[in-house]
Amino acid sequence: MADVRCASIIKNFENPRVEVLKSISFDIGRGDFVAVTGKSGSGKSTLLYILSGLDTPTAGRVIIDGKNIFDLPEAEMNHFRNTRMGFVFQFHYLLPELTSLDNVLMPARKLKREKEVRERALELLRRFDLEHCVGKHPAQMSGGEQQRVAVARSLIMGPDILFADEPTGNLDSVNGERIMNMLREINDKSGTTVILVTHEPDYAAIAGRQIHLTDGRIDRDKKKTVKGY
Amino acid sequence: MWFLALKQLRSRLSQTVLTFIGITLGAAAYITFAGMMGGYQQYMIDKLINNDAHVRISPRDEFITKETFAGIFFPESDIKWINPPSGRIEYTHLSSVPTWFKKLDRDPRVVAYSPQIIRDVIYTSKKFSIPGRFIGMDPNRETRVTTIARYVTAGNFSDVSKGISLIIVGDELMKKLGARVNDTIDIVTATGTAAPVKIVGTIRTGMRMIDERYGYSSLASVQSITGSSGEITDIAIRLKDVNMARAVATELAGDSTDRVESWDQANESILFVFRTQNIVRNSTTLTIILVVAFGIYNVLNMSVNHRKKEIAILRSMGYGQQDIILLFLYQGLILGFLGSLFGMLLGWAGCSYIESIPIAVSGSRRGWVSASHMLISWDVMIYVNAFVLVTLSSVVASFIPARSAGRLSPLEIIRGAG
Repeated sequence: MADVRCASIIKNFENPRVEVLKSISFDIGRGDFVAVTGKSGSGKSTLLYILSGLDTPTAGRVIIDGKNIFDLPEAEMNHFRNTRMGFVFQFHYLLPELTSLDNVLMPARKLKREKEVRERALELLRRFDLEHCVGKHPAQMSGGEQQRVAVARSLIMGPDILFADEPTGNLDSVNGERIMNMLREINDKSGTTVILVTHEPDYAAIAGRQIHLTDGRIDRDKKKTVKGY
Repeated sequence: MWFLALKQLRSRLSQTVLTFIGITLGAAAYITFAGMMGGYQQYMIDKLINNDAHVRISPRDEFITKETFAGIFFPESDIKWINPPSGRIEYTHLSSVPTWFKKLDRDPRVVAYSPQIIRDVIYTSKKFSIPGRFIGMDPNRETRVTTIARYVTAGNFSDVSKGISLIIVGDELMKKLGARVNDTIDIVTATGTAAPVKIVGTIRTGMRMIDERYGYSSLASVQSITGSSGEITDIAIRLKDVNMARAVATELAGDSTDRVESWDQANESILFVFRTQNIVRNSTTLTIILVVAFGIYNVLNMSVNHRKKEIAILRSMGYGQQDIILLFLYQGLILGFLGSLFGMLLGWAGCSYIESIPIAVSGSRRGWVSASHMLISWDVMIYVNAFVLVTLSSVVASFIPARSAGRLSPLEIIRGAG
């Protein structure tokens, strides 16, 4: 498990110059469920991408397991992302030419472990009620099913941290809720740290901790005493 | 990445097939083209090598120019000629034949050599007279050096040495003289003396230059008829290894006053034509390959643009730039590899078909330049070249889109979509 510390992260965009994040610092403990909320343009997605190493900050450090991830060489960063991070985005980004099973196995192919984790992939699909979709291609599935496959894919390598960027953004409320329940279950059962970006207060309320951003600054950091509800 | 590369190729099957057909046709066209040209050239070169000497020693032509006298008169000063000198130094025969013989006898690279005397004469019979060459040689030696004896259509090549003043002539020459075998014709030399010779046979090589102009006789006959007793004008040499011809010629020439030429030096003009042909062939090949490469580039470029999101998600799950580059490079490689493989088959089939097309050159089957069908080169190198060129250019062409795919920032794609 990993704890994530970010120290005075600043992110500026050039042309036009915008200060997206203005010195953000906070720690996330192992197994936390954190919701990052805020209006669009508040910098919450940018913060998530910086935390996950997909984006680089203008200044500041993100320390995971005591190491600044921006100091890691590219290959090591890729390996880290592959084995210890999971991503769920607003869009499912499934590869259209692969079946859902192959899609779920895709991260494992990077390390040629797809045979090893095949059982686990099937189990994940079962767990998410996707047994009937195993051999289907993304185009043959509903939006909710696609996003659930995407979640299964993010979990195949057993990540320590799951990054979710508006994972319910394109779903109706029934499916959205389902995804949220899945995230909570993952957090509960496997102790995976979940960092969720959302602008829906209902979903944010599920998290044990809510970090609210306004104009690139944390203006509220609310922890629940009891994990879960 | 192979797995995904194959899946991606399959998912855009029609494009894949079209590109594949393009590559196949490109490779096949190259092979057929190269096969046809190569076949013709190889045939011609074979003829040149086998029908004439590998190396020929002949008297040198030397012309007198300003340079001839450079440093002779007034070596210290700059000379301006009012009337520059002109003229020719005559060497009608080889300078030192016995020295040559000794040298050639000792040389282990020489298989055989044949001394000849070649004179320009006028063949006359009744009221016809035709200028031609009168060649004296030893038939036994000559047959070991050149293939001329193979083209004898009447009589025997060795018959000329069975007596004095016997000749074997080109069959066209005999026809034009209105003569027949066993007829006697006259030979008029440069000095105007005429001598009768008897036709004992004919040759037909398919080369008009020989068939219409050449007459072969014994050394003694030619020497006596042309009044040049004991003179030798040429030595034709056959080597163990024809590829050594140029080197041997250069070495023999050494400090001799005679001209020593290898077959390829003597036939420079034909080889120049071949070189021109090769340039044409290579530029055609280049065009074909460019078209193929652009096809691949186009398809993969579109593919990259269509798959930006997928590239982004692959990057987010830990695939590096190299992986993405490989993903597209593999697609180009698969297309190029399979395309050139099938292209080789198709090219081979095309060559086989073309080889079966009957053609008729010169009407005779026994001549040098005559073939009953199209000549095709089956040189393995053509196939190897086609394969390497096409596969390589596929990889190069796919590298550009692959690299641009690798450079895509996953974040910008995701942000752009969200």
